[in-house]
Amino acid sequence: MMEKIKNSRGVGKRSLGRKIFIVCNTIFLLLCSFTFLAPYINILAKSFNAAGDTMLGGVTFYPREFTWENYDVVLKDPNIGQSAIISLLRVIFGSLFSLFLQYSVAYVLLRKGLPGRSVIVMFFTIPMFISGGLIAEYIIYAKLNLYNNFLVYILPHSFSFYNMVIIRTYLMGIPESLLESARLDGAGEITILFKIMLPLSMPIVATILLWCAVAHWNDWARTLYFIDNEDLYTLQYRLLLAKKDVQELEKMIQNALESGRPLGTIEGDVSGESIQAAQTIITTVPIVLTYPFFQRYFVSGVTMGSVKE
Amino acid sequence: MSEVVETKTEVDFTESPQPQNPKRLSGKNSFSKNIPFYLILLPAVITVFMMQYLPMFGLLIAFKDYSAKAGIFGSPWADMGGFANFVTIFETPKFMDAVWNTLWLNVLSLVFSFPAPVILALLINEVGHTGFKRTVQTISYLPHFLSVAAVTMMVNQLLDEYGLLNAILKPLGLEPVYLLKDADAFVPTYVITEIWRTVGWGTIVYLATITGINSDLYEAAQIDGANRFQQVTKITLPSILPTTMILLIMKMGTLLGSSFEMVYGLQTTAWKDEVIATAIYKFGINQSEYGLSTALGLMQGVIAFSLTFIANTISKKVANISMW
Repeated sequence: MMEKIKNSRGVGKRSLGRKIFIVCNTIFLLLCSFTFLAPYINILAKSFNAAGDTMLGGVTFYPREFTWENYDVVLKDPNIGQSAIISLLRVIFGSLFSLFLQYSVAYVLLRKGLPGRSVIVMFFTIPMFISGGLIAEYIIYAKLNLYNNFLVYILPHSFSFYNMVIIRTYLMGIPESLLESARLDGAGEITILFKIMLPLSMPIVATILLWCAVAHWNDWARTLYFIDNEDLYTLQYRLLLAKKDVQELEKMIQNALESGRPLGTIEGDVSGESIQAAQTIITTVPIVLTYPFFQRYFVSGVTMGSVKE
Repeated sequence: MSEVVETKTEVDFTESPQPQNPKRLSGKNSFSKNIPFYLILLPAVITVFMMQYLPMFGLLIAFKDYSAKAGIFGSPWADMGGFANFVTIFETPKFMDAVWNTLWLNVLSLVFSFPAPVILALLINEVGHTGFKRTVQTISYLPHFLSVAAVTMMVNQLLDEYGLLNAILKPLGLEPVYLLKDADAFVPTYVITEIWRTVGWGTIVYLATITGINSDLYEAAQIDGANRFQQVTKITLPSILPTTMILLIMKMGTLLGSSFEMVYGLQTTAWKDEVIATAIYKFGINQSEYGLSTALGLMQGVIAFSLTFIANTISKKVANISMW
C-alpha cells in the first residue's frame, strides 16, 4: 500500500535534483546506521581481543588477537552466574506479576455498569500524576521489609496505567456475546477470565510481557536504591559496578604513578577493558539478538498509544 | 487498605438505589453480583496502595524536621511554617547547582534531540526501497533496547584515551582527545548520547503519522505542480504538527526530570555534575538528608506539572492542540 503511493509519487519524473537527493540521503542514512552500530561492534571486537593487546589501544571493528579468554573469565565468575539467575528470576516473575495486575484491572474495567467503576479508575490514575518520590519510597519500602528483599524487584511500580489501557482496548474487541453465553452456561468470572479471555488475547499478552521483560532486564537503579546484598545484584548492576571500577583503576594508576609504585601490583585487582567488553556483550546479547524479531510488538505499542484518541 | 474498601462500599451505597443505566441488560447490577470482579481487582488495589499510595504520605517529610526515630507522622514540623527545607534548598549551592544543571541539560536536549527524530523520520520516509528502509529503522532502534548501564560503559570505552574515537582520529592525522578527563566534555557527551539513544525510536510516531496522511493530498499537489520539497513543507510537516506539539508538551514536563540512570551512569572522577535526580539519591539516601531531598523532589514534581500545564494552555490557545 505504502509502496504504491511511493512509486506513484516518484517514478516517471525523476529530476536531476531528485537523484542527487536520493544519493545524499542514502549515504546519510548509511552513516547514521553506522553510528548506531559502531560503538557496539567496537565493544564486540574488544571482547574477542586479547586483554593485554586491548590495553595498547587502537582496536576498532575486528579483534587483532582473537581469543575466547575474556568470555571464559566472565562466565566462570560465580558472581556473574548468581546475578544472571537473579536477573532471569526478576524478568520472569516481574513480568508475569505486572501482566497479572494490568490484565485483571483491564478485565474488570470492561464491565461498564460496575458499581464504583469511576472510583476505581481514579484510584489507578492518581499515581500517574503524584508520586512520593525516591526518599519516601525508600523509607516506606524499608518499613515494609522490602529493603534487601527480592520482592522489591517485583512489587513496586508493577502496575502501569498505560499498559492497562492498551490491554483493555484489545479486550474490547472480544465480542460481549461470547462472555454472556459463557455466563449463561454457569461459568464463573474467574473461569471466563482464564478459559475464554486469556486464550483470545494472547497477542496483547505477549506484547505486554515483552515490554515488561525488557524493562526488567535493563533496569539497575532499583538495585542501587534498595539492594545492599551482593547475592541479589542483577547483571546490569554488575555491569554498572564494572564501569565504575574503571574509574577506580584509573585513580589507582594515577596514585601509583604519582607515588612511584610499580603498576604491576594493582593491575590484577581490577578487570581490564576487554573483560568489561565481554561482560557488556553477555549482559546485552539476549536482547540484541532478539529485538529485530520482537521490535514490531514494541512499535505497535508506541503507535497504539499515540493514535489512541 | 481499609480506606480503599471504605470508599468502595460508600460508592455502592450511594449509587445502587438509583437505576444504573437504562441500557444495562437486567438493571440489577448489584454490589453482591459483582463480588467476583472486586475479588479479581483486589491484588492490584492492594499492590498499588502499598507501593504507590503509602509513599505519598512520605511527601510530608518535605515539611518536617524528619528523624528516623520519630517516623513520618511523629517528626516535628519544620521551621518557618514547615517550609524550612525549601528555604534551605534555595540557600544551598549544591542543590541549586543541581537544579540549574538539570535545566541546562534538558534545554539543550530539547533544542537538539527533540527535532532529531522529525528530521530522521522525514529522511527515512523518502527512501523508496522497502528493504533498505526497514534495515535502517531496525538498526536505529538498537540503542533503545540497550540498557543504560551498557550505554554508559560503551561511552566510556569509546571516549577512552585508547578508545575508538582516538583510533579513528589518529589515521586522520588529528590530535588525540582526552574527553573522559575533561569536565567540560560532560554536557556535550550527555546530549549526543541522548540523541543517539532516542532518535531512532522517536521516529516511530512520526513515521506512523506520515503513513496516515491521505495520499490524495500529494496527488493534488503534484497536479498543481508542487515539487517534492514543497510537498514536504506544505503537506507532510503540517500533518505531523499536532503529534509534534503533543510530544513537545509532554517533553516540557520532563524539563526538570532528567534521567537518573544516564547521569549517574556517566559520572566519573572528572564528570561530577549533579542533576536533581542524582542529588536526591546522593544527599537523600547516602547522606540521609531526608527532609531536604524530599522537598527537592516535591519541588521538581510541582514545577514539572506546572510546566506541562502552561505548555498545554499555550498550545491550546495558539494551535488548538491539547493533551486533555
